[in-house]
Amino acid sequence: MLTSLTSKLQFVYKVSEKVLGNNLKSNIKKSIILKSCNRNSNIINPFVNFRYYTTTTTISKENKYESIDILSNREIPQSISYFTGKPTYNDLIIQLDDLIFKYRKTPKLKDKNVLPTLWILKQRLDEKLGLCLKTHQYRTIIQKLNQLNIIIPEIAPQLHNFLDLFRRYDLEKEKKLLEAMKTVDQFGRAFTLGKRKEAVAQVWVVEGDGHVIVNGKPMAEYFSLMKDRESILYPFQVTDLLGKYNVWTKVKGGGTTGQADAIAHGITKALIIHDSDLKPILRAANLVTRDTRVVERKKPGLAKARKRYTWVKR
Amino acid sequence: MSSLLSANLHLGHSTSLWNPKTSPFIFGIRYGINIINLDYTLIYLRRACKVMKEISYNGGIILFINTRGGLFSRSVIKAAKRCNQYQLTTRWLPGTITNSQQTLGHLIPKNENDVISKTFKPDLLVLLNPLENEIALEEARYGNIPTIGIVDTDFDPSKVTWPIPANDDSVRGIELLAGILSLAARDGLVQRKLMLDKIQKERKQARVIYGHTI
Repeated sequence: MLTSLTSKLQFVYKVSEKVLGNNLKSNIKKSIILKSCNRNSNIINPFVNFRYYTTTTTISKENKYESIDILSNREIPQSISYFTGKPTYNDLIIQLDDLIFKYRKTPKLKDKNVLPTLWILKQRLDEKLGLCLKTHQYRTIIQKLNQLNIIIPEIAPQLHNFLDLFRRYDLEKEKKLLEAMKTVDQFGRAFTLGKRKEAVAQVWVVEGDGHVIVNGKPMAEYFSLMKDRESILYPFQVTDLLGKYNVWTKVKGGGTTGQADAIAHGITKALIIHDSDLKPILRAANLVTRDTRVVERKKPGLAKARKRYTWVKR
Repeated sequence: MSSLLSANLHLGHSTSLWNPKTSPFIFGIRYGINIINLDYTLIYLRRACKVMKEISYNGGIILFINTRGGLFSRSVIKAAKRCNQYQLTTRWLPGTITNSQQTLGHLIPKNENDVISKTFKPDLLVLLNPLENEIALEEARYGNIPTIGIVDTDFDPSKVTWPIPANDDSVRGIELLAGILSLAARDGLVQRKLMLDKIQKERKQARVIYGHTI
């Protein structure tokens, strides 16, 4: 075995000097070398490390084809970013960067027209790609998707088809809901939700005489305080539409004033659906914003949210 | 050829924080910078191209590395795609060669009977910023893997088997060099394909004539 190996090495040394040059001698000694057959005279580069090599000493016709089969069927990694350790992630980034570069000169939507898109959640993306993404990796992906999303869809439909893979699956449902919320239905009703301080009111507003029904009862019966009744009718007062709309509501949660304010909030939203020009008037009257004031929590070391225990000198 | 190479930002680098081992490549000093002699870059580039060609002809795995990020990574990825080879523009994982089971073993899942998972090692490393990748060079030394590197005036050229003295800071320069090397590799690929087709034809003819089942 040994003698045959040395003979092989000698042969290759001689030929390599002619072809490759003097600098390689030191490197040849380190590497494993396979002698190629006589006929083809293809000298296999000494830098290619073979794990599989024929152990026979003589080279027959069969071995000739075997060695060349090894060359041609050598296994190589599939992904271009195999050596990064995260091939699928890096390949995706490469793909997105290529698209950004490709569409860098196409016209893009201006900021006002772009709807904020809902992108796929990190968990779902992990499942899809079969990875465990870190937050910064997820964020870079989303950044690039946002860059691509700004491009006008009419010009690049293929791109947006590709981007649809990354949108949140219930985006369409949400869009439909939003659209439904914004229009008056077949009976002329506008349906909205109004909220205030744990009270939730489902409000239907139709053109009519000015009746208000709350949980099946007329407003006067349900709300005994004048203040509550006034707050419900306040949106109509502000917009001069007092006797023009009927209101039918279902209220749940909270207390009396909270429920009244919730209904008022719902009514303002419904009026905006009926006529969007009323919005600035209602906004000036501070009716459009949902009042976010809630009961503050109790803190340790204090009797209540703010009340301190009596101070004792000793 | 040399006129194309020069002009475009292949001129010198690094004020006198130089490595004296690069003195043969230096033309002189100007503005406190060592200017690289571009005749030598040409010579060494040609050598490196030959190596690339030969390795890709024999079906080797070539890894283009540049860890600077940004525009550098674009040129590296382009170069790698051009010749169907591999790229690394993020951090070099220490142990990809010497500890490949741990670093890369999880990528290809094991079959039932296997003890070790299948991993690949590159047959050539092309480092476009060796100054920041000394770990990669060490590993290549341990793994008997040759390296081509763009050696600047503040880097020791003997650490790399095939140095190319040039400026490693300019994007255009690196794009150019990576492009040239990848074209050489692509040439090798093309020739390999021709060679394999030729052999297949010979085999077919042999079968026809002699009726052997090979």
